[in-house]
Amino acid sequence: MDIYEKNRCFLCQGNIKREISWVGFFLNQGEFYLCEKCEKKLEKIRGEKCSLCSRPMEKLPAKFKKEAICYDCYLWEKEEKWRGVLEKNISLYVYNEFMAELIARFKYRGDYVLAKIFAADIKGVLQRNEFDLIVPIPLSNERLFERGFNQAEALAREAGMHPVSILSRIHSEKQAKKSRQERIHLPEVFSVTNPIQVKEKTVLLIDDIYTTGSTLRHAAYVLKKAGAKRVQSLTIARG
Amino acid sequence: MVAILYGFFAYLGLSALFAFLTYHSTSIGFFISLFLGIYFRKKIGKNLLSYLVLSYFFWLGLFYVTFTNEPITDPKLMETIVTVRTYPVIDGNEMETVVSMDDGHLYLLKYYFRSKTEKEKWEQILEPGTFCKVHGEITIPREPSNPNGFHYRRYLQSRNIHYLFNVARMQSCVKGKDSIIDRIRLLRKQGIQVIEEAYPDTVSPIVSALLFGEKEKIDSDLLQSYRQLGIAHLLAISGLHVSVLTAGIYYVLLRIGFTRETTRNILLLFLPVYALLAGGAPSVNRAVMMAWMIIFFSKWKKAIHPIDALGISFLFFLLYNPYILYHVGFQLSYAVSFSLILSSSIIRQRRPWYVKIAFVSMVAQFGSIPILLFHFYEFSLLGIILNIFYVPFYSVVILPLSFTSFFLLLFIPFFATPFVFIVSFSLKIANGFAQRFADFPLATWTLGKPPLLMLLLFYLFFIIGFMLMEKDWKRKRGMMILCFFLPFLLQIGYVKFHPFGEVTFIDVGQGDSIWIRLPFHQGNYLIDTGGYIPFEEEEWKRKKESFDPGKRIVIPFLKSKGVTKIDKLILTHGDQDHIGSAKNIFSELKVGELIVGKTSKKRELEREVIRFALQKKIPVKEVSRGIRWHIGNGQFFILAPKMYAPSGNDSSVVIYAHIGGLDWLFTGDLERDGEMDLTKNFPTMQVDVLKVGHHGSNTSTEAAFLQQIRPKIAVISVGKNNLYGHPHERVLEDLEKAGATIYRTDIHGAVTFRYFMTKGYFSPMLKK
Repeated sequence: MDIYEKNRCFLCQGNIKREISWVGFFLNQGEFYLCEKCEKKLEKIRGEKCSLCSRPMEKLPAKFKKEAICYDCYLWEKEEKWRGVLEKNISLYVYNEFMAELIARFKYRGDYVLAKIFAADIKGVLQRNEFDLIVPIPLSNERLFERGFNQAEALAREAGMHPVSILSRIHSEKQAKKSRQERIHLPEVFSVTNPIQVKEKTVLLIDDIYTTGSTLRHAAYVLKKAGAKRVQSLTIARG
Repeated sequence: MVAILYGFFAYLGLSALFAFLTYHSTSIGFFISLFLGIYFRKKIGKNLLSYLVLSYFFWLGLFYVTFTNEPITDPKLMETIVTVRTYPVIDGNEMETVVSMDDGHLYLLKYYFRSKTEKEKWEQILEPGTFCKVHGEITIPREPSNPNGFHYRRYLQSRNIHYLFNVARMQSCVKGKDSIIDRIRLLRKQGIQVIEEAYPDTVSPIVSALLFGEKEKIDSDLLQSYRQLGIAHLLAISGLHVSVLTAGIYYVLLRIGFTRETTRNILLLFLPVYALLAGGAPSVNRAVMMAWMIIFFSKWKKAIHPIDALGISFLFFLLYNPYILYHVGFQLSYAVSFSLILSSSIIRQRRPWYVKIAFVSMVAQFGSIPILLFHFYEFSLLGIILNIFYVPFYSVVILPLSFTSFFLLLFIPFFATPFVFIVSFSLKIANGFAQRFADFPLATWTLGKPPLLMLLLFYLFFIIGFMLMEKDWKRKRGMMILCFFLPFLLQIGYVKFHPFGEVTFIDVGQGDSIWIRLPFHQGNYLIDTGGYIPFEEEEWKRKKESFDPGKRIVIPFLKSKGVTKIDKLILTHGDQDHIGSAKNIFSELKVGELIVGKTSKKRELEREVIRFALQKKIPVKEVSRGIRWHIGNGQFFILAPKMYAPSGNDSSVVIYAHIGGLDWLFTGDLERDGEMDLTKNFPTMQVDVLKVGHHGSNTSTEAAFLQQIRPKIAVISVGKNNLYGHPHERVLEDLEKAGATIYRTDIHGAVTFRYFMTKGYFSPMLKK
């Protein structure tokens, strides 16, 4: 016999202890997914960060900074082709070891339910900004078949959004196996399946992780070409 | 058993509270509930939400059925047998005790002794369990006859008593069979006697209050000091006492060699008995029930969170008697416990221990301030600091030592002496300090009665403040402090500067007291104070404290309006029923100036009041015909007395005023000669509102006078069933003939005129 509902941590299966406090009682009566320990290992991006890609800049050596943006973004924006294509990227967490493990478990090992962990955060971002379209980065059919779900779409759905799949992937090679140069100078990887839908719209791209920003920028590029007014992106982690 | 969410029962309790709010103010309650429902819809999950909605409507229905189903209103004569349920409370020639009848309901029996021997006889015989054959009248307790006045009916209902039984004849009584509960009550009485014998008289009432919740005998001045300092809660048995006692027993029993299991069982049996021994006030019951549940569940190593124990006990007592929500002690007890439980994480973070105690004190204060303001219109500023010293002093020193001394008195009285000595000594010091501090000018802060919406705002801001304190203590300190101060500023702004004016004829029984409040903080005047007429009585008939309308009615009324200073106190003439309470007013409130008639041959009482005012350094102004002043849209003319007229009714200060678009005539006790003098000197004067002279006696309010001034409204300030037969039939007839609408404070209670600019309306307190 137990009086209270037992909440187990999604990651370590430990008991989630609930503290009844003012905030706990009046605000956080939602569902809880992580125990205190695991919660602590997730590192929110706080403090000084790149105003374009959310890269944490507090510990970044000065040579990788260019005023309010990081050197990476500076390089991107230098090129005519990419300037202003991706207006802004919002990332929630630092891509630390723990996050790497979490994402691997989520997308490679098919632990779909982990998407719930980020639902509240993603909702928070959406409440602060307004978008017409929410577009997950697509997988190739091959990958989709392999994984069973699109992780970006899963994140969006669990946060209660209604993503629209108007992008499709032409190439299928894994990004993770390419160098930065290869990634940037790739021929187009995405195409817009329904360009009319994008016209004059503000679009939010969703993906699990932002590493070099190449995927998101390519996607943003084709969207812009198809007539999108503005494109921003949201990712769980910033590599 | 279905597993539940942490705080589930507390949420259910809150839904009941919002239903209660909705019952009282449909619009506020319903919209706030709706808003909260929608706002928290996603946060709390569909399951919980549906329970809460269900519970909300259940309670709403229950409140409508219970509260609107007011029982008979016509008095009913009855001869019947009642069972006495409590030891009678006797004050002078008056006795009160709770009795039950066959129908299972409780009644408050009131009886007036005819002789000293009768008083002694019933004092001896009556105890819980006695059956009595009585003859009397069943009536429904009265409603308040003054705005924000004491709601006697609600007070009794919150104790589950719905009728008064005014007994005319106590016929015969028989000792009945004691129930277990009666026996525990007897034990309680004996326990109090033990304390009274062992402790000195100055201290024993406090020890009785601490151990048995018996506050009846505490010196009223001392109690007042404790209240002003915000430490009166120490004298009410609550969670503090119960936990000290429980922990003490637990420790001692374990030491003696009982197993944990047995100790727990003993406590589970003892606690309900203790609730009865301690007098069964709501705070006691709450604390005992919570402690009981926590111990009970710990038997199976299942912890129940205190917030849920709180919630369950709340719902339990509410189901038993929904009226308990009106009980001030109940409200305070739950508000404070709730705040303390939710603040446990805030308090835990604090170091060292004295900072912790300071935080406990502060949380408890903020949890109770809105309720204190709502009922008493003021709260203690010093309390926040003093509690830091008094709470540990009581819980660490006084309480454990009192308990120990009591147990020793029962079993080995010889060893009790040093404990009794230490407790008496330290209590005397503590009380001495309390009485000294209470005279501090800034000890209490009067803010007036917050309206319901303001009460909610207070709590809303405090909750946000606590959240900020919990989460962003460092980053948002400014915001947090603002949250704790803003509601006070709003309340001050509300009572001080609102744009509505008011004239209230306060119901002070037989006597006069009229309060005029000009809008936009332009000032407030009090014309006369009311007062009781003392008469000689035999020793046994005399009450502990005589009823002073100034202290009991006028001052609370003014405080409820947020008045701390009366700009002008106008005393029309020297009669007891007009100025009897003046001294009490000077002691409790600031007075800008005292205005009296410039008369000769003032009587002793009036001279005494003037001397008292001068002692308090209040300017005294003597006025006579011709003096005038105006402020804003209000104009005031003194029409009488003539300079150096000999004092008396006909030399009352008469004020003609223009307030809120109407012309008023305040006449004091003016009689025929005075009226004639007015008609002669002011032949064109007409008024809208006449304060009828001399409580409507036959010697005033002549037809000729009425014909000239042509009042549309006449207000008679007069006591119910007064000895003088006021108001006189003739006066009422003449007023009617003159076409005036009559308001009488004996029938309508207080009569209030509220206005905005030049428009206003009259509203009597009691609608017949």
